[in-house]
Amino acid sequence: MTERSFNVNIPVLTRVEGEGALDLSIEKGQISELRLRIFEPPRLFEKFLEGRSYMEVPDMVARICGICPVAYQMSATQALENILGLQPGPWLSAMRRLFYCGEWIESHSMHIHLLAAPDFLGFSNAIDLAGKYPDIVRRGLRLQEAGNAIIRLLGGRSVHPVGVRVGGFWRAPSTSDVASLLEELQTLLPEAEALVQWTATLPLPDGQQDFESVSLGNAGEYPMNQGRIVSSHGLDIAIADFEKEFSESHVPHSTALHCHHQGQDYLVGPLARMNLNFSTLPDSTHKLAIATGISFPSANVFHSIVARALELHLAMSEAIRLLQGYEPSDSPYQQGTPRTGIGFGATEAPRGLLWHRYELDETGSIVSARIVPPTSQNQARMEADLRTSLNHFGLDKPEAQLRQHAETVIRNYDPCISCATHFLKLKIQHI
Amino acid sequence: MNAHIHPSVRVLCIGSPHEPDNLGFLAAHTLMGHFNPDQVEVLALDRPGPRLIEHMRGAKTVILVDAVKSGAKPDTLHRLEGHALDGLIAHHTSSHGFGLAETLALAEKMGELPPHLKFLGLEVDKEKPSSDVIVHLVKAVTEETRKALGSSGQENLR
Repeated sequence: MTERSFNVNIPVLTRVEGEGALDLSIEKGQISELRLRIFEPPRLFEKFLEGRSYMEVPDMVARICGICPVAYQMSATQALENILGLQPGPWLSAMRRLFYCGEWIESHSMHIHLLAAPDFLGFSNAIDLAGKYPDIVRRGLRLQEAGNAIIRLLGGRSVHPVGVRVGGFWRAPSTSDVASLLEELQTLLPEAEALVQWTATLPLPDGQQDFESVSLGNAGEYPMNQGRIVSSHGLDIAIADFEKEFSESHVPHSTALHCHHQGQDYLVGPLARMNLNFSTLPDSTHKLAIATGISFPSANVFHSIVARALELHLAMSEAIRLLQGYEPSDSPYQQGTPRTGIGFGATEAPRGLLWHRYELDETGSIVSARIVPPTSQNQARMEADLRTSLNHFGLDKPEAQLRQHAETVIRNYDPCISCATHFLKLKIQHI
Repeated sequence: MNAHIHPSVRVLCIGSPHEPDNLGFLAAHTLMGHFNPDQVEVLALDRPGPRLIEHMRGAKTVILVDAVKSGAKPDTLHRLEGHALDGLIAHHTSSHGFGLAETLALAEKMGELPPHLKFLGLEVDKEKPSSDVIVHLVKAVTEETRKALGSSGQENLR
């Protein structure tokens, strides 16, 4: 081990959503300072929501993210319906799961092909990757488009969908649109299978880490829209009790809050979900998972890309199942009556647990809102992972390699900084 | 996810439905009645990213319409085709997004660029483009579309 001291600066992290940086100081061969700096300005969405009608919330929160708007809409409607006393019936629950499948397919495909895969195959970006593996990238785009098509079916459009309202959807899809989409998805299912097999062949770095996985669970199904909050350390709580167990705090170097569970970092996202809910995978996805040779639960965070591909396959299979059983509905939404109260919502965004809390007054205006996105929850974990991974990688490696490895570690979490502020310059300092 | 056969000439207008980045939408809505939809597809695409490739697939001619900020005088009409597009395709610098340049570069690497690709961009600044400027842009797009239809031996306008 070298005794050198230096600083590494990644001034703008690429291939992540949003803007941030990494400052790393190595002093006498040891990491003395490591800060994942998120400097994108705070977006203040929670404050914007105050004073607005509860009916405006689904359209407003959809604007938080162009990649995971469905997650924001689903957590928000769940929380608001909790206040209004509305319970989704079987038709609405099925359609919301279908809607979520679309977002997982779209977001996971984009991350695997356009953001993460170039790191593991030695390319600087997806454009260069496409030069050598055009069919891989083409497959990724086809799968991404399939996800977008599902979102359009229920949301009217795939970016910032407008089909969602508190109580359900504004309209039910037509049987002809459902039949056409079903045919497309059935054609693409073998491509989702091939994707899982392909990610399992990627030269992923080794490295076992000790971390707590947190996700929804005990939902009677692989969790998307419902469940309790569970963890690999035995946590099992109602979503309303999130604030009793988890705390957010400001750190000077980030405009996004850091979230801890009982003072410790933890992991949310595809690997955490897979680690906690493996037994609920449908048979076809379960068989694919076994064939990867990876044993879940996994303590190698780089297995996230395989977990993401498995979830894409699960979402595709689930979407097909839900479309096959589709019956149109004359009442795609329930009407609520505003009343005073506090409600909670938690669903599984592509990047992990997304928790919302709203307080309404008697007219249905938002008194207060609190949104805890997955990237905030993963921030402390990413910093802990960087320390472990860079030490394991070797701090005596050339700066360019350290920089590349640090970026690979961070991108593996699929951070959405725009959501969390609401990513990356790396500054390494050799002292 | 295309349920019908798309015409081989396509006018793809890029932008947001909302100001200030709504030039493509304004142009698309003006152009939609101009052509026989069996011959020319006109689409308004809200920040399509890589999905643009799907919309170009199978077309012989694609005319892309977008707002441009190059530092030129506002309302300047940029017409790019052939090698003149190389600079745009090479200029992919976005750190986290997939903009037009990145998407065209990706399409080129995968061999997915249409045989004839034309770009019509209108230089914009902070001010909303005037209706005269939109008319000027629409005329230019119409002219390029006529040329494309003429070269493919199809009928022209409605």
